[in-house]
Amino acid sequence: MEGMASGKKLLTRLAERLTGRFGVTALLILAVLAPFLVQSDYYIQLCTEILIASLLAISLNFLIGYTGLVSLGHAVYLGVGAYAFALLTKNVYPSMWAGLIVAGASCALLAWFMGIFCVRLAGLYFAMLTLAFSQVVYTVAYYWRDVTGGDDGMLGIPKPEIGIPGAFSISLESFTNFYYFVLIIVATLIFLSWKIANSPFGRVLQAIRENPERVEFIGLPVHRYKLYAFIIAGTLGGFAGGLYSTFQGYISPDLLYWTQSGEIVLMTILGGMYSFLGPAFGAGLLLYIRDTVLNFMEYWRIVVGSILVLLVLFLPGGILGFFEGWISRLSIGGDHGDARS
Amino acid sequence: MATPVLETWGLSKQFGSLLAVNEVDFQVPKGELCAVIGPNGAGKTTFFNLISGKLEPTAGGVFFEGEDITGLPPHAVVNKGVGRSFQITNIFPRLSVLDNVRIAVLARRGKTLDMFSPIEKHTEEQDEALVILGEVELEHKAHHPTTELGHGERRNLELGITLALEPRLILLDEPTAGMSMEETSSTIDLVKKISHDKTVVFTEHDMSVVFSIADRISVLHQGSIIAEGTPEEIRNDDLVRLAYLGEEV
Repeated sequence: MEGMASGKKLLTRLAERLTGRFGVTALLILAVLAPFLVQSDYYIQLCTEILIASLLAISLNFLIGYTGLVSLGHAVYLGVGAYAFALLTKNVYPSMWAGLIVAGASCALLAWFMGIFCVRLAGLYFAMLTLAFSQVVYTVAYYWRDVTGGDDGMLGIPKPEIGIPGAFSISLESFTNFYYFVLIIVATLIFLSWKIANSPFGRVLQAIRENPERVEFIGLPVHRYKLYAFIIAGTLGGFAGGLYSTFQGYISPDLLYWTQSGEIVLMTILGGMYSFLGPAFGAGLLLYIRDTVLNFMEYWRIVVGSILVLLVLFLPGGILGFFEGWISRLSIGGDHGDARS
Repeated sequence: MATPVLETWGLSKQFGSLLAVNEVDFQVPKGELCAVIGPNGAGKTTFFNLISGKLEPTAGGVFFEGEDITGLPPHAVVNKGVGRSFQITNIFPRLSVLDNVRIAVLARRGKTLDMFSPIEKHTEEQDEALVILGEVELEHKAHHPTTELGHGERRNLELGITLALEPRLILLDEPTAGMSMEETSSTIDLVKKISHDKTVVFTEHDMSVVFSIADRISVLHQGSIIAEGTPEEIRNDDLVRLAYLGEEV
């Protein structure tokens, strides 16, 4: 009996470590070593895309998982961020930093504008309005050929070098350099998101998810807090869009289409919306499945769809969400073991 | 006479053809524990909704400490110093017991726009939340999820959230709804304790509770106040007996 209890305790401690600071550090080390581990340009590219998608999914989760607002138009930030980056670096000035800042800022403005209308609604109406807004922007990108190139999209988006002019510069043309650049930006922004999620402000968002009326009755203007969440999600999504733009070097209105929004929602649900890193995990899984299955057949979405059906039926908290729940149940089980021995 | 904490003048609310609250003139002096009673559908909850800003009156005004608060949104009314609890338990189910109260303390202290420091670092607010949880006898469950609380404990938690706002006027909508006898008596003790230094207006369906603790009682019938007075006066009021109390008292 005693041996079993201590074994359980050890397992519990290990599990807690894995989800806490230790797990995050391990994940970061893995991300830093990834280019050496995969040893192939193709997979370095895939890892880069997963990083960008992780940021995108985590940004959406501020709305879905934290504030309880299901947005079906999040691709609007991916697209607008991407176009903003492309337009600035191609037509005005080829600077990586300026491009990213403009991508984030334009999406912050857009989110502020759309948010004024959207945050007054909840549930299905909120979802429909975000969808409608994103389709409007899609249509504009599709038909405004002079600026966006219409359905041909934009080609030749640069990867401007970074550094201090006159002192030093780092080229981002190599896949590995670019991967590390994206890693630094994404890790910083995800760290920032994590800070926000665990701040008093983040807890208010969760409280709004749980019971908006009660939040109003503890003296907080719910609409305004929803608007802030909307702007934060949009801005972070805009940065992801900017990164995606320079990563691909080519963009088209497809980025803004509603199916793209749906894919970001899928990532969030796959990984688990009540877990901070869940959406990032979902992003990695979705893109990995896409790449693996595409080698065998065109219909990779069938695989993702089947997994999703199984998840909703058996693990409604998402994959990472399930493991976190399992670990916390395990720790409670461990305590009981102690009580008995 | 000092300004009453709460006053309403001609307060009315019409839903379509139904006059739910009909020209109610109502005053509560500072420090009183005042009950609003009446049969189901008399307009008690609507009356509370009008005072707390959840509904806008169709006519009349609401004054808190002499200041016109008619038509202000709920969060603004709360920030003036009016806290309320609900008839249907209104808490944050998936947050911990501590967080339910902590968030209200942070809100009162204006810390909820802090985006970059961890919530645990706000130790003053945490300590205060724990003290409040102690008052509502939930301190030992601070770190549990609210799903582990019983019905009575959830009602107490809701009261704790309201207390955390340090309101000068508290509106309690049926604080003992759905409680067992035991829970009811401990909650009533709590309400009595609160009313020592606060003004409290409450509704309640349990007449023995109302008559034992209220300083003053107002009887609402079909949206209008038909009688007001001390428990003794209300008990002996013929109109009230006819309209509501019947043989019960």
